[in-house]
Amino acid sequence: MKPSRARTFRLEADVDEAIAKLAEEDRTSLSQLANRALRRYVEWDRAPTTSGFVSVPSMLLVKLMAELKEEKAFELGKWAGKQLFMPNVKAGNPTMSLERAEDNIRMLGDYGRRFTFDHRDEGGKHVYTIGQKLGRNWSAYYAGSVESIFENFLGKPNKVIVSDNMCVVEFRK
Amino acid sequence: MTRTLRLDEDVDEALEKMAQERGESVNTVAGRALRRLVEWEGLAGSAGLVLISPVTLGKLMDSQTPEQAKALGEFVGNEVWKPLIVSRFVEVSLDSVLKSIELIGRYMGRFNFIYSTEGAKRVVTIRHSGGLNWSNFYVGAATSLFTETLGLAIKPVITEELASIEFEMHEGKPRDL
Repeated sequence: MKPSRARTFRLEADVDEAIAKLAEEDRTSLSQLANRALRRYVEWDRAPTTSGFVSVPSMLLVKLMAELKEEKAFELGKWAGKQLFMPNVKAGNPTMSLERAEDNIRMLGDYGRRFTFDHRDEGGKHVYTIGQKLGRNWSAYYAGSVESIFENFLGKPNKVIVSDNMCVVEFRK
Repeated sequence: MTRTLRLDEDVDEALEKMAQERGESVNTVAGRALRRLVEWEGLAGSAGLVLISPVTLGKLMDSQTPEQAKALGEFVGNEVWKPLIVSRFVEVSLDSVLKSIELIGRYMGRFNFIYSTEGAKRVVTIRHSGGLNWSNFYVGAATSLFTETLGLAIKPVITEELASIEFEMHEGKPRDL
């Protein structure tokens, strides 16, 4: 169990009532509910990779990507990995590592709600899988991102698979 | 109302640090996060909202023609914003549409919303920094909400940094411009 401490807040009445109702509906304690919300708020806000992110309907992302050719989506993903993700992670801490990159991608997936991220290390073979539901071009985009991020640590990938719902990028160091 | 909550130490410390950096009290920061939870998170989840870098989003929007951007706005207005208004306010009225746009602007992080009245004239302005295609997008969304849903005749104006629509109301009822 994580160490915890009690803190007293003065809340506006409508917020207090609404969180009490939410906790009851979720069958959880007020403290657990508030903890989850506050953790998300501070972690997301403080993460260099996600600062300034905006909310959009997933349906809009499907439509925006639909007109692109798959190769273009892949190239856009490569660009985002190289020009957005890596500099942002380094801005938070210049000492970059494979694990830090993985942690940041995992957080993007968890909080951003766009994809799931999985990594398997099979004796020097690193297999990265991103699952998503926004169509094939988004799989290509993520494949490009994963390739451009991890080639910094593992060299060129030896296998890239893109399907409608996922991409798999394999590196053999 | 006062509430005593038991927080994980790392969360509590992060809250304190954030409050210090922003020159606010821990109570203010936590109050804002909890208000976001009750006003927005549930809606965002059910409306299928996801988070993305504004730079990537901007690149995707730049690849559209102005007509496509406007059509995308109409699509989002009909398929996302309208259901979101019903979910939050039950009734789709001028009041609930305006409140929803304000809410969307505050939590989606892409624009500032200004509503002004002068006699019978009403002006809804969306200020943003996304460029002309985003202005077209917002006009498309406004068309779906104000014209198709509320039956108002609107006069749109767009620039690189804003999309505004003008309409008239007389004794609570719309009038053609």
